[in-house]
Amino acid sequence: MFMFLPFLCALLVALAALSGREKPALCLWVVLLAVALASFSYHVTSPLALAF
Amino acid sequence: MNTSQKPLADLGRQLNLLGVLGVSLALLIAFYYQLALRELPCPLCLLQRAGLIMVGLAFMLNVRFGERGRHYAMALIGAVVTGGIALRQVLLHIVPGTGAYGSAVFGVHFYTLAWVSSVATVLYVAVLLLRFRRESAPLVAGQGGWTVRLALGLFVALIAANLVSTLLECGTGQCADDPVVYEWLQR
Repeated sequence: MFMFLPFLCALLVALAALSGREKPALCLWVVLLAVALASFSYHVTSPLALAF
Repeated sequence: MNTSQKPLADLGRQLNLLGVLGVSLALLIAFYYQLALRELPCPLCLLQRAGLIMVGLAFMLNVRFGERGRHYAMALIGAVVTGGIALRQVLLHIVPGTGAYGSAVFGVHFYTLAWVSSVATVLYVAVLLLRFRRESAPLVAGQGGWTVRLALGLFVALIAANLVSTLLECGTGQCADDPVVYEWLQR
């Protein structure tokens, strides 16, 4: 995943909101969520050294 | 709209604006450590910033388009995402001897602060929802005054600054797990 993508999506959400377009802002926010989760999943690779 | 609802609606907008300012403050502190102390954010740190921005955007939508249940749901989802990412980083360093990433503020590292702030966000949204009665009207042009314009402008500028900073640090690909240089500035 490309690390700048979440911030690009976030900027587009903000600009859509400022220009009064709620639906595009909501849709782009969902894209932002998906990109952030995909990027998180990409980086969660090493197992945690924990024992409970 | 019933006029008796107006003060409540205005208070809701003000409290949401306070939420936007809180997220902006957190992003400003992160930038201070990045620029003044030259601590480059790791991929998980950047994702925590993105999570905080998701929360801030939800508050911003409430300010711009009026309070909506779905905007509050977005704020809660953003807080849970931020908390989950932060918790992962806390657990990476929780075992003694596994070190830490970055500076500590008052003895607490940023990822721990991010987790605490995500829990605080959930509580804050819960309080906002307790007083939320009905959906308010969107802002019309010129409404809200300079405080709204300044607060939202600062928040958008910080998002843009994060985009530029991430491009400089990571380029158009993934970030190094332990970044030490701005990739684009090394070319």
